[in-house]
Amino acid sequence: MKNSNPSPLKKLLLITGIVVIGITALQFRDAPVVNPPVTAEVQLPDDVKAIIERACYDCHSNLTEIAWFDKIPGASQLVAKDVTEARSRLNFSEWDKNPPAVQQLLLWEVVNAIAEDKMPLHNYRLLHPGATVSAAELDILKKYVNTLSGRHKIDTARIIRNNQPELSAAIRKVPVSLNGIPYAADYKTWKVISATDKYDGGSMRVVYGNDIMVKAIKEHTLPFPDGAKIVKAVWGKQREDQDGNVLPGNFQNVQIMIKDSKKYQSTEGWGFAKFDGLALKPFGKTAAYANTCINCHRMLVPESDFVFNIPTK
Amino acid sequence: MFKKSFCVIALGLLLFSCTQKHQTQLAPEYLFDQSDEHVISSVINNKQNTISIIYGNDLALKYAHDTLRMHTRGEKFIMVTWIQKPMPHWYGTNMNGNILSVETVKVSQNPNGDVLYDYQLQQKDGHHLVKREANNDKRIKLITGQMAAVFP
Repeated sequence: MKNSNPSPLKKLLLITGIVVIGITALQFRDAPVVNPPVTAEVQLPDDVKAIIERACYDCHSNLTEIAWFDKIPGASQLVAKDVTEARSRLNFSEWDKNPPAVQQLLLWEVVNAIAEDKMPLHNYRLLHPGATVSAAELDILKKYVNTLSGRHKIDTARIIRNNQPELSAAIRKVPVSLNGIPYAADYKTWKVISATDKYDGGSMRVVYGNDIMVKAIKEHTLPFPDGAKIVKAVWGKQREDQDGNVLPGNFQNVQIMIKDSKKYQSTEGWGFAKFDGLALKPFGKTAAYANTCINCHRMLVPESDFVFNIPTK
Repeated sequence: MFKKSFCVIALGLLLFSCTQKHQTQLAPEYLFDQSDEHVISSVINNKQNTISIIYGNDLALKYAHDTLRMHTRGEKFIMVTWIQKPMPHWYGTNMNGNILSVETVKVSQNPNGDVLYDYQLQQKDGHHLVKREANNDKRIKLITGQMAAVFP
């Protein structure tokens, strides 16, 4: 009787053939990383720029350099996806797309992402060990962001007072954020959960929590339950007096976070809203602004249920 | 056999430790029970490394909004001062840590209509707030002298 099983050599040839055909097919499917033109490159001191270029540019610029192993079919798709995502969040080659204040905040965010060991991404560093930022280099970046104008911003403008907020609120149509969160002044009766000096942008804040939020803090409940709400009132900072006291300047904005794990599932259960100025103009151009909020919260404070301004040890 | 079991347990522990997220420890002891008092203003002091909130009752808040600066009997101001600490996970912001002191100023008037201030200082001693004697004129001026922070 003739043996119908193929020989080991035939088996090997068959498998090799399948792999070659598969790889060839993937080659056609792969979207290569394209470098669009550099429209406005970030301006940084040489030592800072060298670190940023080495650690960030492969993903966060239009000057991506692809290594040979990034071109391996399958891997190249992942690389292209990562680069597209990274450029959409921060692109040092299209820097003027961000207003000046946002540019500064992004640089502080870069420092924090590195300081918290979130960037460059761990899997990227495994293959590109040269992208790792040393402690000394992080110090250079920290020193640099402390020279940015927002770091020492003083609110010297005449303070516009709103002496009857209840009256103006009563005659005004309730502002609603683009993702449907209405402004409500009831936070003024809530408990304060923290007070902050946001010296990276020259503002000071008082942060309120509703009863559900305060109860959760008191009972050490994490993640925070649905119904928890946080409101931040934000002011500029007046010039320091001779005793070192700094007082609130003009009102800047109110920021809201509301926990509803079903409604805001795509943003880790938190609904974000921001209302600018005494006119309480809803922030953002589209409801997608909430993604910008959660991207930073998701990267840096996942273990605090994505909240920065809570009392923690 | 013992060697094999040891390896399995070690591997298990290693995997377990890798999947454990660092758990944030909430600190409710930093909260101040402000009762029904309103926020009047806040104060950052980088020389003292402190951050404070000035609260007030209805009358104190009304006074803090009043550009004429006329005191009314019954105003009560409370200034709570916390130590400043770096905000965890965000280099670029400082926030309040433990409570250092609670200062209370109660405003009254004598029969001649002169304004009188009753100042009380409590400082944190371990887990408790303890009354202290203190030079109060400057503090009274700071606590009662602030215009209310602007809210929408």
